[in-house]
Amino acid sequence: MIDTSATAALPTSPAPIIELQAVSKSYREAGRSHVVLDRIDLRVERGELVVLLGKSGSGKSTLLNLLAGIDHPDSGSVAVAGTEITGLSERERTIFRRRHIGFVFQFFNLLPTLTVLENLLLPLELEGRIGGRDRNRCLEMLAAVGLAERAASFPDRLSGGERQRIAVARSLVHQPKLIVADEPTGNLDVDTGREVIELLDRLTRQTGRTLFMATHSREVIGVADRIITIEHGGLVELERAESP
Amino acid sequence: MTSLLWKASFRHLLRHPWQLALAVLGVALGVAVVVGIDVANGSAQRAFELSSEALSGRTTHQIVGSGGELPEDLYRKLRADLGLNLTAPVVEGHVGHVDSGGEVLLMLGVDPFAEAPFRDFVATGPLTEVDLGRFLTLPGATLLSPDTAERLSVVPGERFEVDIGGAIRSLELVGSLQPSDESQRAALSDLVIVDIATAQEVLGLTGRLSRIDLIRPPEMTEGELTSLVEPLLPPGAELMAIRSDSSTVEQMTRAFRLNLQALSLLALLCGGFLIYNTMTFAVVQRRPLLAILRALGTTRRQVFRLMLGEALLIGIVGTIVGELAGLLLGQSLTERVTQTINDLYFVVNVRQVSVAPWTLVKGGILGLAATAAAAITPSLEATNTEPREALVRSELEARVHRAIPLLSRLGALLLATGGALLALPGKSLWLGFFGLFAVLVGFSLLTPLFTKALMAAAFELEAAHTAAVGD
Ligand SMILES: Nc1ncnc2c1ncn2[C@@H]1O[C@H](COP(=O)(O)OP(=O)(O)OP(=O)(O)O)[C@@H](O)[C@H]1O
Ligand SMILES: [Mg+2]
Repeated sequence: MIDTSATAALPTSPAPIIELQAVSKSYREAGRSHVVLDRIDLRVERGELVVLLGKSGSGKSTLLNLLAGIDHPDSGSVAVAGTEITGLSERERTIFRRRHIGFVFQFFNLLPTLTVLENLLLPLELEGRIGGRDRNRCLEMLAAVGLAERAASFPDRLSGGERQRIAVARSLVHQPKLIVADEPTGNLDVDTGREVIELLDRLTRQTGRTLFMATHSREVIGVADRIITIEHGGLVELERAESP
Repeated sequence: MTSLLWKASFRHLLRHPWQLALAVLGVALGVAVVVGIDVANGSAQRAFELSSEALSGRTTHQIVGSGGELPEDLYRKLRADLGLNLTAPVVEGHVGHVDSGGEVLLMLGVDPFAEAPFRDFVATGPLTEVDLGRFLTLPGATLLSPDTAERLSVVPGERFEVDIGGAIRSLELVGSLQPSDESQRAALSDLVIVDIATAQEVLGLTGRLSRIDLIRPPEMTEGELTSLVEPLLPPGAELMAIRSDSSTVEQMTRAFRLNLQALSLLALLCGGFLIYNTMTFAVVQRRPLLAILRALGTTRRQVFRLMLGEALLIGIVGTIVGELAGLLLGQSLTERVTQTINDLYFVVNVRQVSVAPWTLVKGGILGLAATAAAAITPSLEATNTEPREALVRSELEARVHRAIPLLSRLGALLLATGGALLALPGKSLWLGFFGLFAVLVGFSLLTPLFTKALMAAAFELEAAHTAAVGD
């Protein structure tokens, strides 16, 4: 705990990894407009582990999609690692995403027709770099998540927890600047969920990366540097419980 | 394009064998119909050419009477008075072979002495082997090609019966005609050659001829021949140049060919429609996968190429299957088409289905091009996949599904109309073709319904399979 607050207090770089300015997003449905995010501002420093809480339907996934360049805000600007992604074309955003963002979703993470190792290699291959060293790094990542012996298995032969661990490994394998996780433990039981969170926490911190994670479960609060909730379209920063 | 993406795609196809089979079937059906019709078209065309060639030989002109009859002495006058030695009298008519249940044969009554320049199979070969006297004098003496004799189960010296408008006549096989090549063999297969006197007697045309074949002497111009012959012609009779466009045979075959070609194009359209359908379903089903790929940074262009490549793979397999099936289909279609020609025009006999290599090449090109064309829209749709769609069944499917009841009703209506038209007795040529068109279009409109039902069944089968294998 002391460790985490120290990291938060001493950002390694002056440029923030995430910077949102007056970002709004609404959805049209049945002729009615429904505002999900209303002119929000947010700044996240490199190496921080941010947890996003909020009721179902409050807009957590919407915010994550904006950060990852999957979706486009109605107005405002989104900058990630110094790049204003709201100014990029669709194709540029796609390429930015594969180079700089790592994903962990709640489910449907892995390609069912690729083996575990191939799933890990995919982000690297999409980037156009694949060689013996990359293969080794994938195997190391597999070892790091404790699944080295499952390299040749297909995802449907793995348990839910194992799949999420693979997803964690994949989100890190191409050394992205930002890891975005949308309820990575939503489908898992409490103990398995805790393992996956520990893994995410350990691996992102080891490499000094930023993790932005949306979740329902309050269990992850313990590992967070910052806790943010979405209420009525606005962001509310929760004060960390007083340090022990 | 990365090899891992291809690998994932390929394995996906293999993991869904039922759907793969359906998609391949869609392509194969389209190609099969095109190839099948083309084969039938080509065979019928060849049959036309062979028949008209073999029956008219090197004839350049024909004299035809009004009502298909000419007085016999016109022939004598042409030869004796005008000195036109390159003339041959013909008496012809259709007869039914009694023992085979009425197989239609063309009885061709000829003068063997006049035939040599016209139809060499009559003048040479056989008549040196059979007793010419018997052929000329024996009432009902006939010549058949060996194939025909075998088909009708008659041996030389044996008698067989034919039906002419309800009257039964007995003929005797006295010898066989040796076709000199394949084309003659085909042309001869429905011919009964008899002496002109026998034909006149059997067909009830005593003293009359069906037509007179002429070969214009090389030293004579078209105009000279006309001015020479025309004064002799009885009222209503005509001198026709048979190689020109005015030839009835030429006209009929052209019209028929055009119809078949239109039919073939229509079939391609149906094929394309089937392919479009299967590819659309393939994309819809793949949405969650595509969503992951897009999230991981696969560009739209890559997704497009991936889906199109997959479609082409299906297209190649489907095209090969379709070509093979098309050849089989062509065989049975040829019979149908020949039947139609026989009913509508005159008797041609296609015992042999001929396949031009170009037919297969065309089928291949069309199959792949149609696959690509039909897959473009679904592939473009695939590129619109957003990662957040991962759990949502797409719009696209809903769109297709919404149109299904309308399409199906329209299809059923067309199918019924076409069927009724085809069942109509004594229909005209155009009604017949219109009926066939309606059936084809109706069928293609019904395919989305079938595809949907089959896809649902395929999903279930696979679900059951997965459940049985278990995790
Ligand atoms: N494509 C869309 N079209 C219309 N409305 C949408 C769309 N995506 C999200 N919404 C709406 O926006 C709101 C926020 O959705 P979002 O998925 O961001 O919530 P969330 O906080 O992630 O919820 P959960 O915890 O259930 O995942 C919801 O009311 C949702 O219905
Ligand atoms: Mg969500």
